[in-house]
Amino acid sequence: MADVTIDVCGEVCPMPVLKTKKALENINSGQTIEVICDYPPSKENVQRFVTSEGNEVLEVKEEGDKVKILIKKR
Amino acid sequence: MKITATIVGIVAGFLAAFVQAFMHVIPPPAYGICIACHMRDLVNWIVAHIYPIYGLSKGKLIIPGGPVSYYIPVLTVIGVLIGASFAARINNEFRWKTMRVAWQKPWVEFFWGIGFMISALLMGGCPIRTALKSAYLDITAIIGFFMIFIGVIIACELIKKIS
Amino acid sequence: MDYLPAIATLCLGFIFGYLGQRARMCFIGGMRDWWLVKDTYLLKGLFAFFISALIGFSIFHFLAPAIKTFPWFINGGNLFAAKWSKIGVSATPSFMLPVPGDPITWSYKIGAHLILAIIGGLGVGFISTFAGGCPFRQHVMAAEGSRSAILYIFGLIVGAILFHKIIAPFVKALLL
Repeated sequence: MADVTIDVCGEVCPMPVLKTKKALENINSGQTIEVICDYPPSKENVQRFVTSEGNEVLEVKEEGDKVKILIKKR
Repeated sequence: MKITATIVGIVAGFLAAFVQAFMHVIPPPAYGICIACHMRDLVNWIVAHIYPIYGLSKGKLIIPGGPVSYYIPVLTVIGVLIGASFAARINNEFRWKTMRVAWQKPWVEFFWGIGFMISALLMGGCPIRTALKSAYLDITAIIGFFMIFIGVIIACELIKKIS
Repeated sequence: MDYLPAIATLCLGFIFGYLGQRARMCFIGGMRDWWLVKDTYLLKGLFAFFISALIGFSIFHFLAPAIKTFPWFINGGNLFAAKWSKIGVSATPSFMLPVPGDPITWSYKIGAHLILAIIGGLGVGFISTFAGGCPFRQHVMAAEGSRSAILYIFGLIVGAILFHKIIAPFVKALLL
Protein backbone atom coordinates (compact mmCIF):
# COMPACT_ATOMS: atom_id res chain seq x y z
CA MET A 1 0.00 0.00 0.00
CA ALA A 2 1.10 3.50 -0.55
CA ASP A 3 2.20 5.81 2.23
CA VAL A 4 0.33 8.88 1.00
CA THR A 5 -2.80 8.97 -1.14
CA ILE A 6 -3.86 12.06 -3.08
CA ASP A 7 -7.30 12.30 -4.65
CA VAL A 8 -7.55 14.93 -7.37
CA CYS A 9 -10.70 13.83 -9.19
CA GLY A 10 -12.52 16.80 -10.67
CA GLU A 11 -9.50 19.13 -10.70
CA VAL A 12 -7.75 20.31 -13.82
CA CYS A 13 -4.25 21.57 -14.48
CA PRO A 14 -2.41 22.93 -12.59
CA MET A 15 -3.81 21.47 -9.37
CA PRO A 16 -2.84 17.75 -9.70
CA VAL A 17 0.80 18.51 -10.54
CA LEU A 18 1.05 21.14 -7.78
CA LYS A 19 -0.33 18.83 -5.10
CA THR A 20 1.94 15.97 -6.23
CA LYS A 21 4.94 18.28 -6.10
CA LYS A 22 4.09 19.43 -2.56
CA ALA A 23 3.59 15.85 -1.35
CA LEU A 24 6.87 14.73 -2.93
CA GLU A 25 8.72 17.38 -0.92
CA ASN A 26 7.16 16.28 2.36
CA ILE A 27 8.02 12.55 2.30
CA ASN A 28 11.34 10.73 2.63
CA SER A 29 13.25 8.98 -0.11
CA GLY A 30 11.98 5.51 -0.89
CA GLN A 31 8.36 6.11 0.16
CA THR A 32 5.46 5.85 -2.26
CA ILE A 33 2.58 8.11 -3.24
CA GLU A 34 -0.65 7.07 -4.93
CA VAL A 35 -2.44 9.63 -7.11
CA ILE A 36 -6.07 9.07 -8.14
CA CYS A 37 -7.21 11.22 -11.05
CA ASP A 38 -9.87 11.09 -13.72
CA TYR A 39 -8.79 13.72 -16.25
CA PRO A 40 -6.66 12.44 -19.16
CA PRO A 41 -4.32 15.43 -19.55
CA SER A 42 -3.45 15.47 -15.85
CA LYS A 43 -2.58 11.77 -16.07
CA GLU A 44 0.03 12.56 -18.76
CA ASN A 45 1.22 15.72 -16.97
CA VAL A 46 1.87 13.93 -13.66
CA GLN A 47 3.83 11.12 -15.29
CA ARG A 48 5.93 13.56 -17.32
CA PHE A 49 6.61 15.71 -14.24
CA VAL A 50 7.74 12.94 -11.90
CA THR A 51 9.98 11.18 -14.43
CA SER A 52 11.70 14.45 -15.31
CA GLU A 53 12.77 14.81 -11.67
CA GLY A 54 14.20 11.29 -11.48
CA ASN A 55 11.40 9.55 -9.59
CA GLU A 56 9.96 6.21 -10.67
CA VAL A 57 6.46 5.35 -11.82
CA LEU A 58 5.79 1.88 -10.42
CA GLU A 59 2.42 1.10 -11.96
CA VAL A 60 -0.56 2.70 -13.66
CA LYS A 61 -3.94 1.04 -12.96
CA GLU A 62 -7.17 1.94 -14.75
CA GLU A 63 -10.50 1.24 -13.00
CA GLY A 64 -13.41 2.43 -15.09
CA ASP A 65 -13.11 6.21 -15.28
CA LYS A 66 -10.43 6.69 -12.63
CA VAL A 67 -6.72 6.08 -13.00
CA LYS A 68 -4.39 5.25 -10.09
CA ILE A 69 -0.69 6.03 -10.46
CA LEU A 70 1.86 4.68 -7.98
CA ILE A 71 5.04 6.76 -7.65
CA LYS A 72 8.22 6.04 -5.71
CA LYS A 73 10.54 8.83 -4.65
CA ARG A 74 14.17 8.32 -5.61
CA MET B 1 1.62 9.09 -35.04
CA LYS B 2 1.27 10.93 -31.75
CA ILE B 3 0.24 14.54 -32.21
CA THR B 4 2.40 16.72 -29.94
CA ALA B 5 2.04 20.41 -29.22
CA THR B 6 5.01 21.28 -31.45
CA ILE B 7 3.26 19.85 -34.51
CA VAL B 8 0.11 21.82 -33.73
CA GLY B 9 2.17 25.01 -33.40
CA ILE B 10 3.87 24.55 -36.77
CA VAL B 11 0.61 23.77 -38.60
CA ALA B 12 -1.33 26.62 -36.99
CA GLY B 13 1.36 29.24 -37.59
CA PHE B 14 1.72 28.38 -41.24
CA LEU B 15 -2.04 28.21 -41.85
CA ALA B 16 -2.58 31.58 -40.16
CA ALA B 17 -0.12 33.23 -42.57
CA PHE B 18 -1.61 31.33 -45.53
CA VAL B 19 -5.16 32.38 -44.74
CA GLN B 20 -4.19 36.04 -44.67
CA ALA B 21 -2.20 35.87 -47.91
CA PHE B 22 -4.57 33.94 -50.16
CA MET B 23 -8.00 33.78 -48.55
CA HIS B 24 -8.75 37.51 -48.17
CA VAL B 25 -8.91 37.68 -44.39
CA ILE B 26 -7.75 41.31 -44.49
CA PRO B 27 -8.27 44.28 -43.37
CA PRO B 28 -7.14 44.29 -40.33
CA PRO B 29 -3.72 42.75 -40.86
CA ALA B 30 -2.61 39.74 -38.79
CA TYR B 31 -6.18 38.49 -38.26
CA GLY B 32 -5.86 34.79 -39.11
CA ILE B 33 -6.53 33.26 -35.69
CA CYS B 34 -8.03 35.07 -32.73
CA ILE B 35 -10.66 33.68 -30.41
CA ALA B 36 -11.63 36.95 -28.69
CA CYS B 37 -11.83 39.12 -31.83
CA HIS B 38 -13.69 36.58 -33.95
CA MET B 39 -16.15 35.91 -31.15
CA ARG B 40 -16.73 39.67 -30.91
CA ASP B 41 -17.34 39.85 -34.68
CA LEU B 42 -19.90 37.04 -34.60
CA VAL B 43 -21.76 38.42 -31.57
CA ASN B 44 -21.91 41.97 -32.94
CA TRP B 45 -23.11 40.74 -36.35
CA ILE B 46 -25.95 38.74 -34.80
CA VAL B 47 -27.03 41.48 -32.38
CA ALA B 48 -26.89 44.24 -35.02
CA HIS B 49 -29.14 42.26 -37.31
CA ILE B 50 -31.74 41.69 -34.63
CA TYR B 51 -31.69 45.17 -33.08
CA PRO B 52 -30.45 47.59 -35.76
CA ILE B 53 -30.10 50.35 -33.19
CA TYR B 54 -27.01 48.57 -31.80
CA GLY B 55 -24.84 49.40 -34.77
CA LEU B 56 -26.21 52.76 -35.87
CA SER B 57 -23.64 55.51 -35.84
CA LYS B 58 -24.22 58.84 -37.61
CA GLY B 59 -27.09 57.31 -39.52
CA LYS B 60 -25.14 54.41 -41.04
CA LEU B 61 -25.14 50.80 -39.93
CA ILE B 62 -21.63 49.77 -39.05
CA ILE B 63 -20.75 46.57 -37.27
CA PRO B 64 -18.18 47.35 -34.53
CA GLY B 65 -15.29 45.02 -35.24
CA GLY B 66 -13.02 43.94 -38.04
CA PRO B 67 -14.08 45.24 -41.45
CA VAL B 68 -13.72 41.79 -43.00
CA SER B 69 -16.80 40.66 -41.03
CA TYR B 70 -19.12 43.31 -42.40
CA TYR B 71 -21.21 41.16 -44.75
CA ILE B 72 -20.47 37.66 -43.49
CA PRO B 73 -18.72 37.15 -40.14
CA VAL B 74 -15.67 34.97 -39.73
CA LEU B 75 -16.63 31.56 -38.35
CA THR B 76 -13.51 30.34 -36.53
CA VAL B 77 -15.28 29.81 -33.21
CA ILE B 78 -17.94 27.50 -34.65
CA GLY B 79 -15.23 25.49 -36.42
CA VAL B 80 -13.23 25.04 -33.20
CA LEU B 81 -16.28 23.80 -31.28
CA ILE B 82 -17.25 21.32 -34.00
CA GLY B 83 -13.69 20.05 -34.49
CA ALA B 84 -12.99 19.58 -30.80
CA SER B 85 -16.25 17.75 -30.07
CA PHE B 86 -15.61 15.54 -33.11
CA ALA B 87 -12.18 14.62 -31.71
CA ALA B 88 -13.57 14.02 -28.21
CA ARG B 89 -16.31 11.70 -29.40
CA ILE B 90 -14.01 9.67 -31.63
CA ASN B 91 -11.65 8.95 -28.73
CA ASN B 92 -14.33 8.48 -26.07
CA GLU B 93 -13.22 11.39 -23.92
CA PHE B 94 -16.58 13.13 -23.62
CA ARG B 95 -18.04 13.29 -20.10
CA TRP B 96 -20.09 15.90 -18.23
CA LYS B 97 -18.00 17.27 -15.38
CA THR B 98 -17.97 20.20 -12.97
CA MET B 99 -14.81 21.64 -11.44
CA ARG B 100 -14.30 21.38 -7.69
CA VAL B 101 -11.73 24.11 -7.08
CA ALA B 102 -13.20 27.24 -5.47
CA TRP B 103 -12.15 29.73 -8.13
CA GLN B 104 -13.18 27.56 -11.05
CA LYS B 105 -16.81 26.91 -10.16
CA PRO B 106 -19.30 27.71 -12.95
CA TRP B 107 -20.61 31.02 -11.63
CA VAL B 108 -17.13 32.38 -10.91
CA GLU B 109 -16.00 31.42 -14.42
CA PHE B 110 -18.78 33.61 -15.82
CA PHE B 111 -17.08 36.66 -14.35
CA TRP B 112 -13.64 35.54 -15.48
CA GLY B 113 -15.13 35.43 -18.98
CA ILE B 114 -16.39 39.03 -18.83
CA GLY B 115 -13.12 40.32 -17.41
CA PHE B 116 -11.06 38.45 -19.99
CA MET B 117 -13.02 39.78 -22.96
CA ILE B 118 -12.73 43.39 -21.78
CA SER B 119 -8.98 43.09 -21.11
CA ALA B 120 -8.34 41.36 -24.42
CA LEU B 121 -10.22 43.96 -26.45
CA LEU B 122 -8.35 46.76 -24.68
CA MET B 123 -5.08 45.08 -25.52
CA GLY B 124 -5.86 44.27 -29.14
CA GLY B 125 -6.26 40.50 -29.19
CA CYS B 126 -6.17 37.26 -27.28
CA PRO B 127 -2.77 35.63 -26.45
CA ILE B 128 -2.71 33.74 -29.76
CA ARG B 129 -3.18 36.88 -31.82
CA THR B 130 -0.56 38.70 -29.71
CA ALA B 131 1.91 35.98 -30.69
CA LEU B 132 0.86 36.39 -34.34
CA LYS B 133 1.30 40.17 -34.18
CA SER B 134 4.74 39.63 -32.64
CA ALA B 135 5.61 37.41 -35.60
CA TYR B 136 4.38 40.29 -37.81
CA LEU B 137 7.09 42.37 -36.06
CA ASP B 138 4.92 44.87 -34.22
CA ILE B 139 6.83 46.33 -31.28
CA THR B 140 3.83 47.25 -29.14
CA ALA B 141 2.62 43.64 -29.37
CA ILE B 142 5.99 42.32 -28.16
CA ILE B 143 5.73 44.59 -25.12
CA GLY B 144 2.17 43.33 -24.55
CA PHE B 145 3.35 39.72 -24.72
CA PHE B 146 5.83 40.32 -21.91
CA MET B 147 3.10 41.97 -19.87
CA ILE B 148 1.00 38.80 -20.25
CA PHE B 149 3.95 36.76 -18.98
CA ILE B 150 4.32 39.01 -15.92
CA GLY B 151 0.57 38.74 -15.23
CA VAL B 152 0.82 34.94 -15.33
CA ILE B 153 3.75 35.00 -12.87
CA ILE B 154 1.81 37.17 -10.40
CA ALA B 155 -1.21 34.87 -10.55
CA CYS B 156 0.96 31.75 -10.09
CA GLU B 157 2.54 33.15 -6.92
CA LEU B 158 -0.94 33.96 -5.62
CA ILE B 159 -2.17 30.41 -6.34
CA LYS B 160 0.84 28.93 -4.56
CA LYS B 161 0.00 30.97 -1.45
CA ILE B 162 -3.71 30.14 -1.45
CA SER B 163 -3.58 26.38 -1.87
CA MET C 1 -20.26 39.30 -51.45
CA ASP C 2 -17.15 37.43 -50.56
CA TYR C 3 -17.73 34.04 -48.98
CA LEU C 4 -14.10 33.03 -49.03
CA PRO C 5 -12.98 34.33 -45.58
CA ALA C 6 -15.92 32.68 -43.81
CA ILE C 7 -15.41 29.26 -45.38
CA ALA C 8 -11.63 29.38 -45.00
CA THR C 9 -11.79 30.29 -41.30
CA LEU C 10 -14.42 27.60 -40.69
CA CYS C 11 -12.05 24.95 -42.07
CA LEU C 12 -9.09 26.43 -40.19
CA GLY C 13 -11.10 26.33 -36.94
CA PHE C 14 -12.04 22.69 -37.54
CA ILE C 15 -8.43 21.62 -38.09
CA PHE C 16 -7.17 23.67 -35.15
CA GLY C 17 -9.90 22.33 -32.83
CA TYR C 18 -9.23 18.71 -33.74
CA LEU C 19 -5.46 18.98 -33.32
CA GLY C 20 -5.77 21.06 -30.16
CA GLN C 21 -7.96 18.48 -28.48
CA ARG C 22 -5.54 15.63 -29.24
CA ALA C 23 -2.41 17.52 -28.14
CA ARG C 24 -3.88 19.52 -25.18
CA MET C 25 -2.61 22.79 -26.66
CA CYS C 26 -2.70 25.94 -24.52
CA PHE C 27 -0.60 29.13 -24.71
CA ILE C 28 -1.12 30.38 -21.16
CA GLY C 29 -0.52 26.82 -19.94
CA GLY C 30 2.92 26.90 -21.53
CA MET C 31 4.00 29.92 -19.49
CA ARG C 32 2.32 28.65 -16.31
CA ASP C 33 3.81 25.15 -16.45
CA TRP C 34 7.28 26.54 -17.11
CA TRP C 35 7.06 28.84 -14.10
CA LEU C 36 5.57 26.30 -11.66
CA VAL C 37 7.31 23.01 -12.49
CA LYS C 38 9.81 23.82 -15.29
CA ASP C 39 7.86 21.77 -17.84
CA THR C 40 8.53 22.84 -21.43
CA TYR C 41 6.16 20.59 -23.41
CA LEU C 42 3.59 23.30 -24.13
CA LEU C 43 6.17 26.10 -24.37
CA LYS C 44 7.75 24.37 -27.36
CA GLY C 45 4.38 24.58 -29.09
CA LEU C 46 4.28 28.34 -28.53
CA PHE C 47 7.76 28.85 -29.96
CA ALA C 48 6.96 26.63 -32.93
CA PHE C 49 3.89 28.78 -33.66
CA PHE C 50 5.93 31.99 -33.51
CA ILE C 51 8.75 30.78 -35.75
CA SER C 52 6.46 29.10 -38.25
CA ALA C 53 4.32 32.27 -38.60
CA LEU C 54 7.47 34.36 -39.04
CA ILE C 55 8.74 32.08 -41.82
CA GLY C 56 5.29 32.00 -43.43
CA PHE C 57 4.97 35.80 -43.47
CA SER C 58 8.47 36.22 -44.88
CA ILE C 59 7.78 33.81 -47.74
CA PHE C 60 4.35 35.20 -48.59
CA HIS C 61 5.64 38.79 -48.47
CA PHE C 62 7.11 38.18 -51.92
CA LEU C 63 4.24 36.13 -53.33
CA ALA C 64 1.02 37.85 -52.27
CA PRO C 65 -0.02 41.52 -52.32
CA ALA C 66 -1.95 41.18 -49.06
CA ILE C 67 1.21 41.02 -46.94
CA LYS C 68 2.99 44.04 -48.31
CA THR C 69 2.87 45.67 -44.84
CA PHE C 70 4.83 42.79 -43.36
CA PRO C 71 7.58 44.23 -41.17
CA TRP C 72 5.02 46.39 -39.45
CA PHE C 73 7.51 48.69 -37.81
CA ILE C 74 8.97 49.55 -41.24
CA ASN C 75 6.03 49.51 -43.63
CA GLY C 76 2.88 49.66 -41.58
CA GLY C 77 2.89 52.51 -39.12
CA ASN C 78 3.40 55.06 -41.85
CA LEU C 79 0.32 53.75 -43.68
CA PHE C 80 -1.96 54.60 -40.77
CA ALA C 81 -0.28 57.92 -40.10
CA ALA C 82 -1.08 58.82 -43.73
CA LYS C 83 -4.74 57.92 -43.22
CA TRP C 84 -5.05 60.17 -40.19
CA SER C 85 -3.40 63.08 -41.98
CA LYS C 86 -6.16 62.88 -44.62
CA ILE C 87 -8.70 64.08 -42.07
CA GLY C 88 -6.44 66.86 -40.97
CA VAL C 89 -4.91 65.31 -37.86
CA SER C 90 -1.15 65.39 -37.95
CA ALA C 91 0.23 62.08 -36.81
CA THR C 92 3.94 61.48 -36.70
CA PRO C 93 4.73 58.20 -38.42
CA SER C 94 6.51 56.14 -35.84
CA PHE C 95 7.65 52.57 -35.53
CA MET C 96 5.67 52.07 -32.33
CA LEU C 97 2.14 52.39 -33.74
CA PRO C 98 0.42 49.00 -33.35
CA VAL C 99 -1.63 46.84 -35.69
CA PRO C 100 -5.25 47.93 -35.17
CA GLY C 101 -7.12 45.45 -33.05
CA ASP C 102 -10.26 47.36 -32.31
CA PRO C 103 -11.14 50.44 -34.40
CA ILE C 104 -12.52 52.27 -31.39
CA THR C 105 -9.36 52.32 -29.30
CA TRP C 106 -7.10 53.43 -32.17
CA SER C 107 -5.52 56.80 -31.48
CA TYR C 108 -2.56 58.72 -32.86
CA LYS C 109 -0.86 59.10 -29.50
CA ILE C 110 1.74 56.45 -28.82
CA GLY C 111 1.55 56.80 -25.04
CA ALA C 112 -2.11 55.79 -25.14
CA HIS C 113 -1.26 52.54 -26.92
CA LEU C 114 1.49 51.71 -24.42
CA ILE C 115 -0.84 52.28 -21.47
CA LEU C 116 -3.52 50.07 -23.03
CA ALA C 117 -1.00 47.34 -23.79
CA ILE C 118 0.34 47.29 -20.23
CA ILE C 119 -3.03 47.35 -18.46
CA GLY C 120 -4.68 44.94 -20.87
CA GLY C 121 -1.71 42.56 -20.82
CA LEU C 122 -1.60 42.32 -17.03
CA GLY C 123 -5.35 41.74 -16.95
CA VAL C 124 -5.23 39.02 -19.59
CA GLY C 125 -2.40 37.11 -17.87
CA PHE C 126 -3.91 37.34 -14.41
CA ILE C 127 -7.47 36.37 -15.36
CA SER C 128 -6.51 33.57 -17.74
CA THR C 129 -4.42 31.75 -15.14
CA PHE C 130 -7.31 31.73 -12.68
CA ALA C 131 -9.82 30.65 -15.30
CA GLY C 132 -7.72 27.64 -16.23
CA GLY C 133 -6.12 28.51 -19.56
CA CYS C 134 -6.37 30.56 -22.70
CA PRO C 135 -9.83 30.80 -24.36
CA PHE C 136 -8.89 28.23 -26.99
CA ARG C 137 -8.39 25.63 -24.23
CA GLN C 138 -11.75 26.64 -22.69
CA HIS C 139 -13.51 26.03 -26.01
CA VAL C 140 -11.92 22.58 -26.25
CA MET C 141 -12.95 21.79 -22.66
CA ALA C 142 -16.50 22.92 -23.38
CA ALA C 143 -16.53 20.44 -26.27
CA GLU C 144 -15.35 17.76 -23.80
CA GLY C 145 -18.28 18.44 -21.50
CA SER C 146 -17.13 20.83 -18.77
CA ARG C 147 -19.94 22.99 -17.38
CA SER C 148 -17.60 25.74 -16.16
CA ALA C 149 -16.23 26.24 -19.66
CA ILE C 150 -19.72 26.64 -21.13
CA LEU C 151 -20.43 29.44 -18.67
CA TYR C 152 -17.06 30.97 -19.55
CA ILE C 153 -18.22 31.19 -23.18
CA PHE C 154 -21.42 32.95 -22.07
CA GLY C 155 -19.22 35.37 -20.13
CA LEU C 156 -17.29 36.13 -23.34
CA ILE C 157 -20.54 36.93 -25.18
CA VAL C 158 -21.81 39.26 -22.44
CA GLY C 159 -18.39 40.89 -22.15
CA ALA C 160 -18.30 41.72 -25.87
CA ILE C 161 -21.70 43.45 -25.72
CA LEU C 162 -20.74 45.33 -22.52
CA PHE C 163 -17.47 46.50 -24.05
CA HIS C 164 -19.02 48.07 -27.10
CA LYS C 165 -21.85 49.74 -25.30
CA ILE C 166 -20.27 51.09 -22.12
CA ILE C 167 -16.49 50.86 -22.01
CA ALA C 168 -15.47 51.84 -25.53
CA PRO C 169 -16.97 55.36 -25.56
CA PHE C 170 -15.42 55.92 -22.13
CA VAL C 171 -11.94 54.87 -23.27
CA LYS C 172 -12.29 56.85 -26.50
CA ALA C 173 -13.13 60.05 -24.62
CA LEU C 174 -10.21 59.49 -22.27
CA LEU C 175 -7.49 58.82 -24.79
CA LEU C 176 -8.26 60.57 -28.03
